[in-house]
Amino acid sequence: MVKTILFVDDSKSIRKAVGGLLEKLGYNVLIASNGREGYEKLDGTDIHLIITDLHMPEMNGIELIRAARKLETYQFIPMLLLTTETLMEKKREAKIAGATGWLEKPFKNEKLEMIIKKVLR
Amino acid sequence: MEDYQAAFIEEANDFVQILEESLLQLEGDRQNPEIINEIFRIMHSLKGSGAMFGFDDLSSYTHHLESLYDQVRRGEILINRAIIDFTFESVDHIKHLISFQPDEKYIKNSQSLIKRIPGLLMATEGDDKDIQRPIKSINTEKEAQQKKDQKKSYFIRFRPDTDILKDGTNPLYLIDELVAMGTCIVKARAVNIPDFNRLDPLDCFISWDFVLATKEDPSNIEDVFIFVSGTSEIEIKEIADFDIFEKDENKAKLMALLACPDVSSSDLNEFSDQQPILTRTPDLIAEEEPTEEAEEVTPEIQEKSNLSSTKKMRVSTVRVKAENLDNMINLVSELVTMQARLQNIAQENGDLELISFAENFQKLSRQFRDLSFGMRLVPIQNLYIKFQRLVHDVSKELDKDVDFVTEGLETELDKNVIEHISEPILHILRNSLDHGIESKETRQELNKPERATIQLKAHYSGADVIIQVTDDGAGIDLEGVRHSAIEKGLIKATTKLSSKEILDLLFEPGFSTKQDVSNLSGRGVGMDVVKRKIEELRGSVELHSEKEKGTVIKIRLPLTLSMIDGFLVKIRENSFIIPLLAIDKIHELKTGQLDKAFNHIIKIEDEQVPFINLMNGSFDGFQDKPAKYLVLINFENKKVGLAVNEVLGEYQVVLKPLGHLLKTKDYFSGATIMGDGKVALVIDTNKLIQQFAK
Amino acid sequence: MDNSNKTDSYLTFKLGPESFAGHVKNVQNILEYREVTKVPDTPSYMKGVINLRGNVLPVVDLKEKLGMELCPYTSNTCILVMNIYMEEDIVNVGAIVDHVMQVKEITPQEVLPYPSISNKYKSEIIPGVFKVNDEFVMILNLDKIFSNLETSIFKEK
Repeated sequence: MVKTILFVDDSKSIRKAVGGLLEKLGYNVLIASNGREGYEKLDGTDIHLIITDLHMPEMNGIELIRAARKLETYQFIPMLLLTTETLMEKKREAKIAGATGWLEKPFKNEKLEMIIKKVLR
Repeated sequence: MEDYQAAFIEEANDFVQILEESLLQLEGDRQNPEIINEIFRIMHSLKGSGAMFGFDDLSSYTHHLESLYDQVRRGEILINRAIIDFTFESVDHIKHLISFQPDEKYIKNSQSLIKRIPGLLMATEGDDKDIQRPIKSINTEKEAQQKKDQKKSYFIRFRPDTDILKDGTNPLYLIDELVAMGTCIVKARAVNIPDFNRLDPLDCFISWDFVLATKEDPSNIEDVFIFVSGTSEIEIKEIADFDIFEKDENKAKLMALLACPDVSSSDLNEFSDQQPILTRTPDLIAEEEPTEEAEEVTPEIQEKSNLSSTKKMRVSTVRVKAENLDNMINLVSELVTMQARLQNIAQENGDLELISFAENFQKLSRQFRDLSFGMRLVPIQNLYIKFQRLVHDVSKELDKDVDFVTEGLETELDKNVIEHISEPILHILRNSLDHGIESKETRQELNKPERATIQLKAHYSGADVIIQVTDDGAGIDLEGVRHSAIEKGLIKATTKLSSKEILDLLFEPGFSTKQDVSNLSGRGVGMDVVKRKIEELRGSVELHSEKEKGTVIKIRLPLTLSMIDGFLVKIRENSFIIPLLAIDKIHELKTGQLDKAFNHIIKIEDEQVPFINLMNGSFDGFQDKPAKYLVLINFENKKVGLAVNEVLGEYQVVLKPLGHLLKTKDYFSGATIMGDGKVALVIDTNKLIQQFAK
Repeated sequence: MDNSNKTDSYLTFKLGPESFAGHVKNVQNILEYREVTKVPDTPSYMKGVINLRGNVLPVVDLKEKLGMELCPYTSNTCILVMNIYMEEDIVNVGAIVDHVMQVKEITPQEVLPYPSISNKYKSEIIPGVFKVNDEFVMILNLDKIFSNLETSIFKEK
């Protein structure tokens, strides 16, 4: 079965690049440009992984993860936070909110692929 | 990723524009957390995306600004003039870095700019945190690299947090990952599983012990647990600097040791005497979670909803190629011409069904025309950043304190007009700052407020848009202008001129009031060019000034260059179009009424109305005919009549240029193709009346 | 290089009794004469404007422009749609002529100098003449005549 990934980032170029890459890796990709938009996509459809940027207008990545975890359908799916922070602090905050893991920007294609494999099979 | 560089550049340029906008807002509202956040977020995005797409210089530069604004955001330092100016400079610098191959000198410039940041921090009361921290410390992987080919053996203990399943982690994936690294034995421990009645299926009670022989660096083993290292107990210990599984006896020994449920890493010491390289125990949830949930989350949510309700409505938009827009307008104009032809045929044919169809078609095509024309309209607001940036930069350069006030910038103009009006207005602003606004000292002497004001105001006026630039500066010295004009041979010393005529001299080619061309006015265009550019847009410009009070420059522009609602009239045997918006009303004349009128003024409803009779003499080459109607035109708050001999009704007009050869006839704004294929000239009423007033 | 074989094509036409020729690069199209919309306040040789496939084309009476004797338009009267090469762009102008004849291939050798003594035009207006069936055809420099309608084409006295 083809897995569906929700990818949330406010940067158009990143959306294009990562979205394209995920599709190339054989995933079905849903795209949103901020947390609120991403949250609206969580309407009960099958989503197997959420990858979200941290700093975004309207609703940031941690807020999105926190909100998504409260939804029954998505309670247990992996969620990854995309971040440029190398600081543990943010990562902890993300974990508390319910993130499965994180991915530091910039990343290479292989790294993204590897990280996804860590949480999604 | 390289394929997306162009997309990134486009996006980055958008960011730069928002940055400039935000900075200008920040100037007036230094504490506004939303603006500060926006700047932080853009720096963050530029850094992250920049690195993704290979813009490393951009990324590392914006990193410093991100850190700076992070501190501002957290209230550790306060925004001040120096930080705003520095950010402005940085924005300019960033513009250079956003290109495929920025010049070497810009990259060097990064360093000198970054060096100034600590100074900025010192100036404020904030702490002097080391902001120059490199993005990533390069670790000592190299040393490890040398031994890379050699397998080592590790004992690994993984005791997941009971809640590990709740954040979407699947521990089995991690185990698979470890096993894939080399030779591995795994022992699952189920000692902590509670009584079945108390067992929550969502909790994880199993833990695992591993012995792994691998070539991988220990940091890669750590990486397996990277997402769970904060919450779960993880122990990684090198137990031998060789492959422990090479000898069968070791293998047996290990199996025996692991079979024992309370084995610890120290029990494996006999294989090696090294200290554990990593021992992690849960360290964060206990201290942070309990208080946060109840107290912090609720107010945060409230604040958020407040913010979103006060936030501007964002309209969803789509980018369209300007070229497509132009093509669409051309097609629409052809459609409108066809529609006129259809209406003609319907009228001649007399078929009622066809007539009503043609009328509906007209309504539809008019709506379509307005809609597509509306797509070309752009608010003057779009130029605001340019304007404010200029005022900001120039006033700083000249050490003048200037308040830039705007009004009515939501007024919209055709995209082409907007594109071409920016340069003339910039020049007017530059002139105003350079020559108009006095120095601080002079203003003090004159008892004027030290902070000068430049106002940019726009509004609709009939079929036109008026843009007005007003300053409260020194005004224009009429005598000085006169003298200068005499010196330049533009007028004779004996010529008597009204003050308006003197001001008009400023628009003469090559006229400049300041003897020495200053740095500022020197680089722009002269007022003659301003005038010419505005006239090319079929607009006009006038100037009012009062000495020591200030100057007003008023620009009048047509709303559109391509399509208007017209009113079709006949003057003698030829058709003309008068813009509908210019018309006040149509007055029917009694036979010979105009001929009897004294001094071209007749009385209509208790008003004296001057009129222009195009029916005789003045339009050469036409046969005289008696005027039957007077079309009353709004002209500068007055009414002026235009004599015609037939009125034929409203008409949608696609304006076609008359071309170079007929350009001199500037009281025609163009021509249009009628339904019958003939051409009708479109009258520019303002210019026609001005011409006749002379 | 031998240029003698390189020919130029000219469209020949009649203005009254005289024959003239314009370089084909200047001629875009030939239209039958049609009613022209007058434009007020223009020189009398500027007859007005017509609709040329949705665009506005100014039309000039070439005979009047050249100061020749006028005669009524006939069914042979045509409008030449011309491409006039100005400094930066190409402008379309219509020229009313009495009768369009033919396109002639002319080699440089066939072009004879136009006797410039005592003629009323500036020399660059008629750069040369050639002969067709014993009749002299005057070459008109259409770019010069039309690129600036305000400048006189006549010699100053």
